[in-house]
Amino acid sequence: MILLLAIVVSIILAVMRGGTFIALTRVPVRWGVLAVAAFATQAVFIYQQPTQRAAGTWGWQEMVFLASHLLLLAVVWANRRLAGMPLIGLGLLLNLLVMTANGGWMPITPEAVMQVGHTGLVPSLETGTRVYSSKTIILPAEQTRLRFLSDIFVLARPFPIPTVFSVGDVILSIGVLILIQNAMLGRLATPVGKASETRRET
Amino acid sequence: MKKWYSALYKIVNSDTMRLVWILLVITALVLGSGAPEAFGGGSGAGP
Repeated sequence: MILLLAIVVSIILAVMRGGTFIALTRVPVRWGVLAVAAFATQAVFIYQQPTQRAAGTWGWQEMVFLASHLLLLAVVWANRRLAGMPLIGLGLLLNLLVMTANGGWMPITPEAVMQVGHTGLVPSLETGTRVYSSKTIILPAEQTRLRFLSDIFVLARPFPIPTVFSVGDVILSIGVLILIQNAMLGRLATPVGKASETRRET
Repeated sequence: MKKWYSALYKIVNSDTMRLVWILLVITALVLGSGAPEAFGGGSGAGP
């Protein structure tokens, strides 16, 4: 939800600055189908019922999950010339790094889950339990590798959308803010004559 | 049949569909790259 919020806030800000949705339609995004396919793949795992996993073990699910992130990296690379995309790529890389170091999932401490009141999303707070509707897995702080890159920022109530997120998520949000601002203000538009050529590429 | 194809072509290549597609791609890219706890929020009940 916090990332969707970043997108919505970016759009509202762009509109306030005089940006238009029509300008967004002219952004030459490449390999968009791969991005949608990659996230659809992740959604299959994210919305599975939470299970217990031995922390640090890699099964076929984790490999498919990793592959979907690498696909997204490829999409970011193909669109690296768009403003904001390098930051999106950096955020993705940082998240991927800490997830890879911790068995394929983003580690979160049981204390953080309790702080945001999301204990309803897990069957228990035991180590290795996946959190429903997320990429996170419960791991105590002392067992987390690259802890500073994991979900360490806590936004608890009274914030209306309690959540925990990482440094990578912050950088990602800044990247999407820059991307949407530039897109809606017409700074990323393809020249009209090249529009059909760009559409063939995507 | 030709009319049907022509109408479908116009819809698919319309600015509205293009906008929907761009927003879908950006959303997929961002949500796929991020790893916040709980994409869909959560409830307070539980163990």
